[in-house]
Amino acid sequence: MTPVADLTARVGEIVLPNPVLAASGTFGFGPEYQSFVEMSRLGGIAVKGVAVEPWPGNPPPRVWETPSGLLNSIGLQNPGVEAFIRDDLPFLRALGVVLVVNVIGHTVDEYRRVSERLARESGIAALEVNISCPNIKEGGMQFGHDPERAFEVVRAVVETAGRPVWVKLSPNTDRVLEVGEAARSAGAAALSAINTLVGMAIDLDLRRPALGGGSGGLSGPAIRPVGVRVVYEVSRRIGLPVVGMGGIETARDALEYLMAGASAVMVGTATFGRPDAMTRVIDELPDALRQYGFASVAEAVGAAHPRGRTLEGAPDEY
Amino acid sequence: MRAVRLTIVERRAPAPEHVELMVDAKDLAGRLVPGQFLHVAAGGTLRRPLSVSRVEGARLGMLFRVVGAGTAWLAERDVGETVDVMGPLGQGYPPPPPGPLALVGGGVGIPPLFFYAQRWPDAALSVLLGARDHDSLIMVDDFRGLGLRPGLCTDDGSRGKRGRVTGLLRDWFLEHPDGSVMACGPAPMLHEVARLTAAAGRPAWLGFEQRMGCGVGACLACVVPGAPGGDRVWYRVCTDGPVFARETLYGEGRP
Repeated sequence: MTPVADLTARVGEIVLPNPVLAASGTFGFGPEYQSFVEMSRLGGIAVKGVAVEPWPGNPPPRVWETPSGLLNSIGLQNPGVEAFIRDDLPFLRALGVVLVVNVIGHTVDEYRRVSERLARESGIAALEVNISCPNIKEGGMQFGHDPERAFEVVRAVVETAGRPVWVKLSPNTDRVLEVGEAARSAGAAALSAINTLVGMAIDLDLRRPALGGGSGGLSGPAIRPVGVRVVYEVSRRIGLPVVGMGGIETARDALEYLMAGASAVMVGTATFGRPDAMTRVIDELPDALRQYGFASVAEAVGAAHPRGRTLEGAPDEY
Repeated sequence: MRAVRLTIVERRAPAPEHVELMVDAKDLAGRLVPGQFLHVAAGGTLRRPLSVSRVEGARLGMLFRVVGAGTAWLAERDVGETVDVMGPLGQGYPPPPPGPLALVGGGVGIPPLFFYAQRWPDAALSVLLGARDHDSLIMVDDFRGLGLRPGLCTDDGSRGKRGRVTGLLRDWFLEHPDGSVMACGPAPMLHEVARLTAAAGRPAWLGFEQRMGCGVGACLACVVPGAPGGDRVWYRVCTDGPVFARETLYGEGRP
């Protein structure tokens, strides 16, 4: 009899029953999908970005399908941290699933205030600092393209969070390794990668950009190779656990990220097409691990990295 | 509630660029409220929200216009194939209020109103239908089959009166000052319905369409603006709608 593969995943000090989390922005604040998803089976949930005050988001249309992908310009609409704590956190706590709260802001102080406020609340495993959203004018991705500003934001959150801080990286910069290193030196416990890629579609009938916000963020299978590459590089060179995402639809896709160096993965856009995408990945992962010779998730993490080469010895491929 | 696979039992082409898929809907047909939608896998990344055009026993219809890759993919499905459906989702139209009731449909907004007429055969219904041209003015014979005599208009005058369906509604209110309205169509049409019904001091329920992501309220893609100064900046078409009481989106005053 073949032993059952061990799906336990570890992201720093956080232990997950399996490596599959819901990606921030695609799973609301928790209850929306409960009729369609067996929530308690998820490895974790990263809720939508939370700011210190309510944000209205961008004008519609906010989504546009593209080949093997999706452009979105939601603009981080959210009810603000107080409403999140009052209306959503009790439900999320009661689920008993590892909860990651995505934190957004226009300024370092706004990030700090969200972190401070959440520090008084129980039931949150980690914060995910979003310095990579392409759909807002101030803050967000601006911090994620500048190592010094990234350092400031991450340090402000780490100082106040009282819990592990993950930092979500932007793929829209050639400085992703510098930003990741800045996050590490500011005290981040893990990195998550990648956020969406900046893109645009034109509505031919209307002769204008298809999204109300003009440009948007590209997600879905179209960006998977980009995500895999960033995870591969960052996990080899920064020395922090990485939560990988970008276009994961199947257990094989998840395994690709694990082998690239991800300690866990997030599934986002796939849930829109198939609400059971995450639980299917979880169900199929033991077979996928076995098929490629792994007895556990832990064994697969980083299996594609070159052996016997130190961080210093790694070629500078970036 | 799970996504289910429903078998296509009939494929109709009621007009150029329009397809109606009749599916064996099992227990789903009986639970549907007119105006609710089904979120249907369409061969790509996103599902497509489709309204229900009719229920016949255990079968239901989804009548849509082919406007892009997703609807083109769905239009190519044939009898015996299955479609992957989430639903019923969203808020539908309320039962008929007392007094005369106008169903006001524009283009591909017409199908859910036919389902409404089918569901409420004893209501005092008037039907007002508009579209850009002859071929887009769909389901006229279906309404006639229910014994109704829809008022018709097209933008180019190729069928019925030349003009907008809201013109027919303005005339209707002269004869039915105590009337109510259920409407579905493009946003500019619904804005005008809101203006006319507010001016008449009469209730209206408006069915909106918007580019949609998840269909369950999580992604916040399919929003429409609320009334200025109202409770909320945006309402989600998928869960707060697609059918909204006029006051929700336009406030108590006259838009």
